[in-house]
Amino acid sequence: MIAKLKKTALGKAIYRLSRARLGAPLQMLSRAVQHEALQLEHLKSAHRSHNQRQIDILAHFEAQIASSQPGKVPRASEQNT
Amino acid sequence: MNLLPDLAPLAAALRDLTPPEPTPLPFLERPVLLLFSDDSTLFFARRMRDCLQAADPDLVVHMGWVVGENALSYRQMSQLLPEGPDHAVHGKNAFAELMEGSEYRAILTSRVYGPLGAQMRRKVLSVRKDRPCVLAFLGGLDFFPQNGYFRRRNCDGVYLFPHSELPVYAGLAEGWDDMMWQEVGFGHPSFLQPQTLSPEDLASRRDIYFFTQALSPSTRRGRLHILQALAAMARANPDRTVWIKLRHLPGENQKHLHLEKHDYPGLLTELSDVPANLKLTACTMDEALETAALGITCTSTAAIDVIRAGVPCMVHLDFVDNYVDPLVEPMRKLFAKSGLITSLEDMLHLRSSAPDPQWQDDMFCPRDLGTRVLDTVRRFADRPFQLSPTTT
Repeated sequence: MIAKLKKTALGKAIYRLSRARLGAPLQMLSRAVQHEALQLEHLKSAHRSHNQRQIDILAHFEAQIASSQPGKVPRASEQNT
Repeated sequence: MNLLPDLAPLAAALRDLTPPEPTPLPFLERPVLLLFSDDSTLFFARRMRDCLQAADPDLVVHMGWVVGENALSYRQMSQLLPEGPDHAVHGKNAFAELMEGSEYRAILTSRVYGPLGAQMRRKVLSVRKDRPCVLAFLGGLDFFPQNGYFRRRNCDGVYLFPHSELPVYAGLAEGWDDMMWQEVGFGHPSFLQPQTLSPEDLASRRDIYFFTQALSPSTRRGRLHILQALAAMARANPDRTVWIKLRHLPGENQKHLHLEKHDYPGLLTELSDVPANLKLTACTMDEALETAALGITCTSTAAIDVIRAGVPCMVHLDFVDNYVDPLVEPMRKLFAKSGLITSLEDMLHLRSSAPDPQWQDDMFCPRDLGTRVLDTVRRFADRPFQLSPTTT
């Protein structure tokens, strides 16, 4: 989406503005919008369930280790589930 | 009456003092130059040197450092090439001088540097007799190779992989109108047919290596999840050591094409109770492969090094946030038929598979690469339509 915007006239105007003397706030906003945690992709249910599945697999494995090694405290990821 | 002294004897004496122009060696007795400027190209150069010397132990191979493009730290230079380069390619006309000189029989590179590409586009230079043969290999596993193919179109030889890409290149080449003499071959020194390790050797090894990659996983939490998985593997296998093999130290390689946003040493400090047998290392790939019992990676081309060394390999692509990582799908496509794509569950339980033999034959070239390269250079020397340097 960002790549597409960059190629448009509006995108180029925003870029020029961000390079101007007072462009710092625009650059900060741009960085915030592009932050890896704020991607719309994270909201898709297929993606959320993918991540949860991986977390569950690891938690299950860690629980197995803990049960085979008495006295071990479960890991943080085990406590999430 | 001539009062001026006769200067002729003095001129003759001066002529005698001037060192004569060195006579160039016959073409096929000249050294071969291997170019490098960063860690990837230096790995290529070192491996290519081994291939060439295996083919011809008397061959002189020079390591050529492209100074203007250097992205190596001094630590990497000292570690990977302690003896130093044989030739420094620097200055504005360095490539023109190399191409017009008669010092080398061939220049081998895994990267077509801009000024080298510019030289190769000169038609008059292309047909020049006695110039070095320029052979270009791919940089490594390339998910989008077509731009690279185009940049290599004017080289005298192009070596590609997988084998199934040769007809793709031939198809593209039909559309290029500035092609001259060129030979297309199969192979890369990092993609030689794998070695076979004895079961006893493998059984005696205790090290598990995770080969990091600068761009994948791309998110911080994706990397933290990988670290947690590695820590869990270390805890489950206290008799083994799980190594996180760093490609470079934090702060190094800032000019490298692929910059790392979240480095593993920094992230590791955020994990609580890190097992003692989970360790970081910046050793060389060759050192790692000498003791590795298993190599794991996400989208790193290190997978190829692991397979080539005959070490069990896992390509793990199911990491957290993999859907925002642009390298996952190309890597999945490239390894789809390899049988090496491994789920998190199989990775945690160390369940690895052998690579599919058909996929392996397509990806890895026969071990006679050095001989085939030198044959290409020989045929280049005999190519038709050559112009003597005196007429160019």
